[in-house]
Amino acid sequence: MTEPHLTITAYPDGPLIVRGALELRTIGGEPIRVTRRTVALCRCGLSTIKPFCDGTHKISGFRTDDAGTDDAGTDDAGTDETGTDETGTDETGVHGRSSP
Amino acid sequence: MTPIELHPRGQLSEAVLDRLQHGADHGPHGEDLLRVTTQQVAASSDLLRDDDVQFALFLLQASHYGSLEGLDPHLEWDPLLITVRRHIEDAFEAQLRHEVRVPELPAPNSAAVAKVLFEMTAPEAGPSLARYVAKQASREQAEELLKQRSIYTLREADAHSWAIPRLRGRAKAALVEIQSDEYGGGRPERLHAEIFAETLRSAGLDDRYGAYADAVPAITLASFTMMTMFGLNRRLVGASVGHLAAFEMTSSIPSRFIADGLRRLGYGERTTAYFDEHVEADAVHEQIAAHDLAGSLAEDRPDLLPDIIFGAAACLTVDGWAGSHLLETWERGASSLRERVLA
Repeated sequence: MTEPHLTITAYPDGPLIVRGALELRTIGGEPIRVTRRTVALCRCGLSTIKPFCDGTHKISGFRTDDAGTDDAGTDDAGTDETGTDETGTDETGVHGRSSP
Repeated sequence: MTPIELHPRGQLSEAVLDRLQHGADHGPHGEDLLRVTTQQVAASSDLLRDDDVQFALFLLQASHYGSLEGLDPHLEWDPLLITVRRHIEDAFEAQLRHEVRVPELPAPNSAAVAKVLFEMTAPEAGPSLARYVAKQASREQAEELLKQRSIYTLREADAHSWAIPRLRGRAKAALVEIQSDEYGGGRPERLHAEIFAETLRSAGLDDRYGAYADAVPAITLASFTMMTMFGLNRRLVGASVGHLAAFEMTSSIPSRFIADGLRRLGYGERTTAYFDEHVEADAVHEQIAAHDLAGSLAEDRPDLLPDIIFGAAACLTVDGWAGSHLLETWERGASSLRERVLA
């Protein structure tokens, strides 16, 4: 395999999808169990299963600046730095849903 | 353990079951079976809620899956049964194309297709089956839900796997990426169908395929026969892809509600694991399905775009009807399952 060991794809208005050999750790160095080959990491900050995505961004109206310039699938090298800074979003709207 | 018994729901399913179980020499012959088929289909005012027709189609498709015991494998390609299945599926598809409302088609590029799919599948705030389960379903109703789900979930992902050889390139790679995860990524105990079988066992239910086939109503079968029809027919590969996308995109958040409901009712981790797993899994799958599968396919095969959107809309519509059936029967204190009508 001459592929990169790991790719992180920033999906518009969604999570970071990580493909490849991945080791996730807590700040204390403890391993976080990864059970699948492709994982979605929370980017909106609202997931109930962080660091993984649980789809809550769809309820909160999370938006990334790259929406509408979707090159997912062809541009999956690189990092999440292309205009996907979370500071542009807030939590407005998330409490509108009906979960406790 | 006693074998699973299957009971016909009318003339057509009786004739089909007879032939599938007892061979081509049994039951009505050629012209008679075709006549029964055309009669029953023509006489039906709503094929999605027609128990006899849906059960017949379920059996005919089960012959391809190999999911039910006692169906003669030599009859999988029996020309007469293929003719019967095609006749039912053509009428079923025609009804779906007539009744399913499809939004305006997006441009055939990945971003536009993904955007429309996310709009179509956006979470709604109102009452839903999953919220009902989270907050107020009884243990009996939770069991009903698991029985209803067993028709698809004990064969989870299989319906869309028929599409794999019909695709090429990016869309094929994306579908296999999703299906590989559905099938446990090489670990049999992680197969989603197996995780669900454990859910059934832990709840004291029967984990054999078809154990609840007699109990579920036509609309539950229709949800499954529709996705199987999309998968089994090469001309409908776009619909199969759209269906999978919508299916994955409406699973993550409801799965969390259902897992919460099961915990509220006192079920343990063995029972909730399947739904907990889908919170995480389908948050991955929905991105791949929208952008890399459906989006890429629309770019590479713009001729399939209408069917991609149709398949997604059909999934949302029919699964919406199936969910409403459960919700409506429960709200009036009834069971969502069929009362078995024994001859």
